[in-house]
Amino acid sequence: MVNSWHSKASDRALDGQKTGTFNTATIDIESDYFCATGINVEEVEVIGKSYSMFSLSSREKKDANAVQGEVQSFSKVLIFILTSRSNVSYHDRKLAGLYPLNAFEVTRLLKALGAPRYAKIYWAEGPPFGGQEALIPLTREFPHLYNKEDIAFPGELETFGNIASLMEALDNIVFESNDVFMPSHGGNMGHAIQVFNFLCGMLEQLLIFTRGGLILWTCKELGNALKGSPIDTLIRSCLLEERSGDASYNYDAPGAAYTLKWTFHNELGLIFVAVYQRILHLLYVDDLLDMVKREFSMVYDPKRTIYYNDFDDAFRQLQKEAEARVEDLKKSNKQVLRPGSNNNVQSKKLAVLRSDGQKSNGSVKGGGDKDSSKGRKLENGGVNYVNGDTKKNKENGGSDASGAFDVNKLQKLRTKGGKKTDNNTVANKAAPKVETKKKITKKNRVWDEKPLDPKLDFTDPVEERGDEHVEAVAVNHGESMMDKEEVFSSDSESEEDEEEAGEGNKGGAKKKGWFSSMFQSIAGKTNLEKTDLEPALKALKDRLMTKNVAEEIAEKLCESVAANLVGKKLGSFTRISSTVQTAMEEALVRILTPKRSIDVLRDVHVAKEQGKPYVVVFVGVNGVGKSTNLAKVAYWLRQHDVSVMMAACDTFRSGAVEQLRTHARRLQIPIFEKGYEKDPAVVAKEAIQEATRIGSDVVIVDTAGRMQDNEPLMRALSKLIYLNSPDLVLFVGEALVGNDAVDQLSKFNQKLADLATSPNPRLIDGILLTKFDTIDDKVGAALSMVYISGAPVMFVGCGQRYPDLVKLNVKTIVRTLLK
Amino acid sequence: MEGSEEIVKKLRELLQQSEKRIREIPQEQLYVAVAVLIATFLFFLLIRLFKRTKSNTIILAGLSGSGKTLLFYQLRDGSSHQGTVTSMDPNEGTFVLHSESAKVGKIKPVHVIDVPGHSRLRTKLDEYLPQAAGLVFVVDALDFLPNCRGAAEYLYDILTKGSVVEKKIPVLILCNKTDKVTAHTKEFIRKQLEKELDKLRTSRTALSEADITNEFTLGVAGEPFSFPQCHNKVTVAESSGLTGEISHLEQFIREYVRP
Repeated sequence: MVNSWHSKASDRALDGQKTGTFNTATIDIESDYFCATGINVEEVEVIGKSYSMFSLSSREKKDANAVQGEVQSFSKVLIFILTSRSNVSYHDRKLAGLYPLNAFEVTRLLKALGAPRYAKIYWAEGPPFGGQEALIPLTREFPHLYNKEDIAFPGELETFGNIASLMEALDNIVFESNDVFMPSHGGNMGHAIQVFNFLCGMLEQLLIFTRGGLILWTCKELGNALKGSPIDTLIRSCLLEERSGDASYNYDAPGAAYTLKWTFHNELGLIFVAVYQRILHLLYVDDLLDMVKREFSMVYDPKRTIYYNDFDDAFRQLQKEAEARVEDLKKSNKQVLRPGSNNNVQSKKLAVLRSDGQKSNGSVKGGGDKDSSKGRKLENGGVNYVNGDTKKNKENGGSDASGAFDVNKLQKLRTKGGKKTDNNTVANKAAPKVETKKKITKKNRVWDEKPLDPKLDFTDPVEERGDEHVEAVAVNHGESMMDKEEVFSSDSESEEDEEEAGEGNKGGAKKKGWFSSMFQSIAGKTNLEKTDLEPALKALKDRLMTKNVAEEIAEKLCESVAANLVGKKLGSFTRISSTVQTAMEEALVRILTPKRSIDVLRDVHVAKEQGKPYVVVFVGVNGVGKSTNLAKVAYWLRQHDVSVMMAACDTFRSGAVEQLRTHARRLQIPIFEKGYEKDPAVVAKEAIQEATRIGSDVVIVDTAGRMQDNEPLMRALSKLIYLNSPDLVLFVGEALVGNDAVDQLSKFNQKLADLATSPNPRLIDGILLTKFDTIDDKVGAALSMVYISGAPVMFVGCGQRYPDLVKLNVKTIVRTLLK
Repeated sequence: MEGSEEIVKKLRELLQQSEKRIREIPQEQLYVAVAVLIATFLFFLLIRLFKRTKSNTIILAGLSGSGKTLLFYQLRDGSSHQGTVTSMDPNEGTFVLHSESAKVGKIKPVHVIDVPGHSRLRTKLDEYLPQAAGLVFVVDALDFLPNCRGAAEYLYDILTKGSVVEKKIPVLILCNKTDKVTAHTKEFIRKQLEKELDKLRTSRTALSEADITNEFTLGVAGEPFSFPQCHNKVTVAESSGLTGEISHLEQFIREYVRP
């Protein structure tokens, strides 16, 4: 228990604090050391980290365990009340029961948790709302209730002013020596406990399983039953979606919010997954996973699938090791701090020190190698405020850090430059190929086309005059291409050039002699390393980018392929580039193969049986061809004896309704229109009612084109979708789009999710890719869109006529992408 | 006419020349050459025959989460181990069934493949189908109704695949997880699947002109679909992977992979 504390704050530290940089507080109570190193949250956000990194040292080792054990048992239960830095909205928080409790509720909760009467309770808030009387229900049951003011001497707290992070440091101290904490909502105390769990938190579960899906080992000691099925969800929506390159996966289910981290052992085909509560930022998980992987691969025998009970001990050892590393991190803090705090020890005073470059160095390095880049950034931050005192130190640190920074920058620049030149070479090589291909496709398209009936040419001025003449004729334009086999010219293309291009890129990286590489290719290389894959992956990434795949996505895909290949054995007579190529091909086929049925007609029939129309809403940015392709889809549906109705809900752009009306007349399809300046959501609703009345099977809703950033229009769209709950939300995107595809789709999805009023927002269900005939082999947009949204490409618009609507041919796309 | 005569003339010359050459070659050599030719031909023929007759592959297919991997390990080890998660790769193994493990060496091992049910990985099925002696379509009897449509679509794809129809690969629809009280009966599942397949037949044939994946139509046109209409034998059975109640499955395997 904290009896008294004296404080002496260093002016300079406060200066540093005020400028909003790094600060460290060392607090010395009795003979115990406590240290809290904090970075202001604003600062962290500038750096771009998703969490604030704190570290705090525990007491002297002997009683540290006892205290921690005691504290943990409570904090583990209480942790879900804390929502510090969580991304939960107020509404969600309330639903999840994360609502500020009043004194009565707190009492009840504590009693339910079995807290004894003598439990020490620390109230990390200021004076309670409603005065001390409001706390009576609590103090009656648990008399040992304190807050900062209660413990401190008069005037003692003034030294710290109202500086949040210093208060936080104080909270930390008290936090460690009390039984129960009344944290403020998302406030400093929340941070403090987050810090605590950051260092001492527990894993929920650790699993080892094969790629085939058999669980080989789970940690029985942890033994917590996971809520929902986080592992299955991870595999289905992350690992199988080629997102294995990501650092972690967040799983949400009612009553559970987990973070999952994983690592592969590709040679043995093993996957290691660690699961822990989202709000705990466990430092040691990556280390632990790596160690477990190393140890387990030694005992693993593919023939033996029966229990690996003996691994329990090994795991216990490893966990201790990993935790010891975290302990090291604390120690390194302490070591550096000790000389500083010793100065103040005589008077046993609370001292606030600033950290110097060296220390930040030490503490950050303890945090693990993976954080080294982050660490460097922190160093820089740390160096800024170092002043006076140890000038030499500062200079050293400063020059060191800036040096490191420069080197970093240079490296980045160099790699960027390298990338660019590589790009150019690839582009150059690809250019002639593209041209030859263009010719072929063009020719082919002509062959493919049926002779046009001159009567179908609507631009004919004679027919413009009299619409009545057109009507009957327009109903049949021949079979929609949706129903025809796709003929692609690219099949016959030789793969020679591509091989050469790959070779050329590889040439630079391959420095080994011809003989050794020959030998390797015959003998089969032992294990693939990341460095072996890099040149091939880079070439592949560049190739994807020349095919108009968004850079971000090409990057992620390559990472995922690398994650799946590292450690694998290279077969004899195969080259790395071809191995990577096949792995990528598999990945691409997997991505583009639709997850769910895209059989629209089947869905239409189901809706028909239920006696309600099947509603399709077309959304997209301006000028991508929504109305045109809407007409094509209507035409295709009509061909299959489905009665269609159009709803003109583009009440924004002038001429939109007339455009749709023209299409409707030519296809002899009823249209529902209400003119302009109406609320599109209401128009759609009325259209659906009308369709139900006259017995249409499908209602196709045309909406106004909108840019993904246009908030009011997106709100209107969200309302339309919410109000009418369509069966299919079809995103219309043009195949010409490059990097913007990612932005468009992700923002559309984001806005639909954000602006939705229901807890389960409707997102985009499918994609219609337009202008596919204009892009030759730059089919990357298809991949970008499918990857970013997870929705399948349901239709592809590939021409100016009504029948020009086809299905996506996955094989052809993949072949074109990798050529 | 003149041209053709010339050609005939030349051909005759060539024939005479070749006859001459053959006579020059010693007779023994000629016999040996012919013998080698015949031997290699027979060898390849034998290999093909051998392969055909000896197909001992059983494929486990079905939706994700229906319990294929568990069944695979029940067949192999007779144990459910510590449970399974969603498969990312097929499980493959040639082994003597666990229940027959006393007869190791005397009995022909079975090659069992468990194909992941995730829709993105289903394409792997096509690789294995040509060598299959039998296919087991695993259905989750507990959680059947929400997955009914998905299961029916998958089953439809399998039943209309060229390799299945042509080679008349027998299909066993295995209702798994029947140890649970709330599981549906196999009769109910069969009827539901038939109903769904019938619906699918109409919607798929509507667009099948283009659909290259479905090479064959299902059942008899004009009649409501039922499994006996299939060219291949389709049977329905129950099992429970968790408790190891897999006698029907083993029976099916032994019916088509003779010991």
